[in-house]
This record gives sequence, structure tokens and C-alpha cells, in this order.
Amino acid sequence: MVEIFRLPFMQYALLASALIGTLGAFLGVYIVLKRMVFFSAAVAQISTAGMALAFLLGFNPTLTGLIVTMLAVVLFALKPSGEKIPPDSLLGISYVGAFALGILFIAKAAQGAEELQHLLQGNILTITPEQIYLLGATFLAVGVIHLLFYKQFIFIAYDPAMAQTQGYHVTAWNLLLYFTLGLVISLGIKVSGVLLIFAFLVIPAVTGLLLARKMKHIFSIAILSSLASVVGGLYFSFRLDLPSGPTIVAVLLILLMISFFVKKKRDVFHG
Amino acid sequence: MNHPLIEFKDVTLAYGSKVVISGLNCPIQAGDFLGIVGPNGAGKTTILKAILGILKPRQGKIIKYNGERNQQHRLGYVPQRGQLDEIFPFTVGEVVMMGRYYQIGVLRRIRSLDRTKTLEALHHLGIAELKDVLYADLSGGQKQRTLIARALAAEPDILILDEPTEGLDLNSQLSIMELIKHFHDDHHLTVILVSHHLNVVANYVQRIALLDQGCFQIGTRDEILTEANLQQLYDVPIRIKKDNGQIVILSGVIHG
Repeated sequence: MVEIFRLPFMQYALLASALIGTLGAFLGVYIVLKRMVFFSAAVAQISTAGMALAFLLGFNPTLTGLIVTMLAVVLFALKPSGEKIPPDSLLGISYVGAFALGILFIAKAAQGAEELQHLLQGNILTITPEQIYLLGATFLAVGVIHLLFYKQFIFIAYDPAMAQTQGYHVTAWNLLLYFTLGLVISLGIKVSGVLLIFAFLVIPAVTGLLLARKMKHIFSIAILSSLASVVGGLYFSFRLDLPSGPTIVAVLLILLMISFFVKKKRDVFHG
Repeated sequence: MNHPLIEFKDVTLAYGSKVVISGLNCPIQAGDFLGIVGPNGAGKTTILKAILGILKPRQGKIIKYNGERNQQHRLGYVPQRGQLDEIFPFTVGEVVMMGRYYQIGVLRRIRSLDRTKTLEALHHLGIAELKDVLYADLSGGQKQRTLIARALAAEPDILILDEPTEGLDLNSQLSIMELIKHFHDDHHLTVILVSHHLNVVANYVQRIALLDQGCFQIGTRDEILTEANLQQLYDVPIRIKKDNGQIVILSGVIHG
């Protein structure tokens, strides 16, 4: 197993997947606990559409995807439609709209289907050192923000009304959380594709939720299951000649199923 | 003690185009024990949201007077239990500690003072032994005590409770109301509580605000709790009985 990870391209893939996997699993805990999985799906789709637009116009796809994602995040956080459009309907409209626009942009882009495939599935094996540096910087920035403001993020996620009465600016804090989420989603899609980033945002957090009995343990179990899936997924994809992203997702799902049975067994044992 | 803490001046509260209540005028005095009572959907929680600053008035003003040293009065908020998502695996101690977060401030760690205040609040509510139990595993009454402890950990000047007896059995309802009365009487807290249980609230509060279909009446218990007044408001026969100093309100078809 170790020999595979001596190959330079596998080392880059491992490092990049570990960085995205750790960030995705960590932020995913908020997504799952705040019951906003559809939010992350919509943001991921909007980010994809932004990159598709960049391919069409010849812009930098990472930067364009990031800008479009951040605009979407601001829109969702500020809710300019007020009570007239229910929040989940707004997310649904954004999701299908971005999906359709992404396909339309790619259809008219020079490389067409190849780019679409790349955005959907990604190819973590072709990652460059520059992309690793960018991911590393993002990892540091997002990590520092979340370490410093853990109390605030978790309190506002749990009880925004109480937080507001204590003087917290709930919208501003949510915006900061969504910004970090948008950053990770848009950079993650460019590197690993929408499938893998969405999987990292949902599956490890649910695994953590099934196994953990304390709040902080959800984060650690989510990150550990994500890292284990990265190592296992890359290994099996190399050995069995399978695409890396879907193989990592398959390992994530296996770990999720194991944790489900462990929880069932534990619940029976404890009555 | 008798100075206003909060004052509604010709306030209209609305969600989008739907006006819930208009022309609201009332002061809330220091040391008040005010019960806001009315049927579901009457706008009780809307008034609470306005006091908490979550909902801005469409018209008029809500004046919050500053306390000593010109600081804003601290609010201790006890939400309806159902508002909190039990998917979060917080222990009772962690939930109560949240009441201290604002005092701790941004970028600072939890201090020993915050741990002490959290423990004090747990002891006051008689739930110290539940500190490490998951909030989701508690009974309704224990959850309510936890949320009151969290509000008290914030060292509030005003305790605001939203339906504190909702979904509790009669014993738990009375013990929660006794507890709230204790904090009002012995710890000199101003208390505002919202409930649709007129019978439960009537025996504890000093003043009552009655709400129904945009109509708002506020006064002392004796002013508000008259048969004629309640009958007009609820449009059903009402009888008020006093037994050993306890008020019992009977509604519907009354025999005897």
C-alpha cells in the first residue's frame, strides 16, 4: 500500500484529497446539524455554473467560480425575497437554474463535454503543486477562522434566537460561515469535482453524528472517516483501475453503513 | 424599583404584509411579573420577538431604557422547548454554558468564573446532577429547567419565557411556575412570560396582558380577570372562582 503513495502524482492526490476531505467533513457537520444539505447542493451547483461560464468566456474558472459562489452565498444569507419565497424553494430554483445554465454554458464552450465531465467528476490525479498551495492556504484560513470562532458558530447554529438576544449579529456570523463554505466548495469542485466535494460535505458528518455522543466528537469522527476514505479510496482506485472520486465516495458510504450498524448494536446493548 | 425598563409606544408589529398587532402602548416596569396570555396565533410570541429585538416594529418605537452605569439591560431568554433541534448532542452543562457566551466574548476562552456561574445556575434549578447528561435524553420538565438555567447563567435583568409550561404535566407546570415566581420574588428579576394557559398564569403574575384577534388589554390581575371582560374577549361563558386565594377560571357551559 505504501509504495502506491510514493508515486508523486499519488502523493499530490492524497494531499489534496486530505485537505478537501478534512475541510469538507468539518464544515459538513454544520450543514448536517443545521439541516441545510440542500443549501450546499445548490451552492455547489452554482459554483459549477460559474466555472462553466468561465470556460465559455475564457476567464479564470477558479476565480469566476469563487466570485459567483460568494454572490450566491450573500443572496442566501440575506434572503432578499423575504417571506414571499420559502427558503427551500429559493434553493430549489437556484439549484435547477444553475444546473441548466451550467450545461448551456458548457454546450457552447470550446472543450464542451470534456470540461463538463471534469466539473462533475473532477480528476484528483491531475492536480498541480500550485493547486495544492492554494488548497493549503485555504485550509489554514478556514481552519483558523473556525478554531477562533467555534463557540459563536455552534451557538448560532443551535439557537439563533437566543444568540440574537445576547447581542450577536446572527446574519453576519452566518455569512462568515457560508463564506468559508463557499470558499471550500468552489475550490474543491475545481480540484475534485462536484460529486466528491458534495460527498465530503454530507457523508462524514452523518457518520460522526451516528457514532458520537458529544458535540466535539462529531467533528473528529467526521474528519477521521473522511481521511480514511481518502486513503482507502485512492488505494482501491489505483489497484482496481477505477476513477478516484467515485471510489472515495464508495468508501465513505461503506464507513457510513458500518457506523449505522455500530449505532444500532450500541442502542440495542444500552436498551 | 418602579422605573420603566421597556416601553412600547404606538407599536405596530407585522410579518410582511400581515399586521399582527397595532397601536400597542405599554410600559414594562422594573420588578414587573407580566404574563402575556392569549390563544394560539394571537401574537404573543410576536410581542416577545419585538422585546427581544428579533422583530423590528413596522411603526412606532420600542424604547429600551438603560440601567445603572448606562448599560443596556441584559435579557435572559427561555425559548419554547420545541425550537431547539435535538440532533445537536449537547450535554445539559454545555447548553447552560451558552448563557455565558456573550460575557466570555469573541476570541476568549471559557473562564473559571463562567464555570462557576454555570454551576450556580444548575444548582438553583436543581439539575446539577444532570450536568453531563445529554439534553435530548431529559424529560420535558428537566429540559425546561435547563433552559431557565441557561437564561439565568447570563445574569439577566429581565427573564423572558415563551410558553414555559407547554407540554408539561400538571405537577411540572406548577413546579416551573413556582420556580419562576421564586426568581421574581427572591432574586428581584423582572419576568415576562407568554402562555396560553390563563389558569396557570393567573395565580402567579402581577399584571396580565390579554391578546386576542389584534385586541390588547393590559392591567393588574384584578383589572383584567373579570368574568365580563374574559367573556367579551373569548366569547364563551366564563366563571372566575377564588378558592384559598387560588384563582380558577372556568369556561364553556358551566353548571352550578
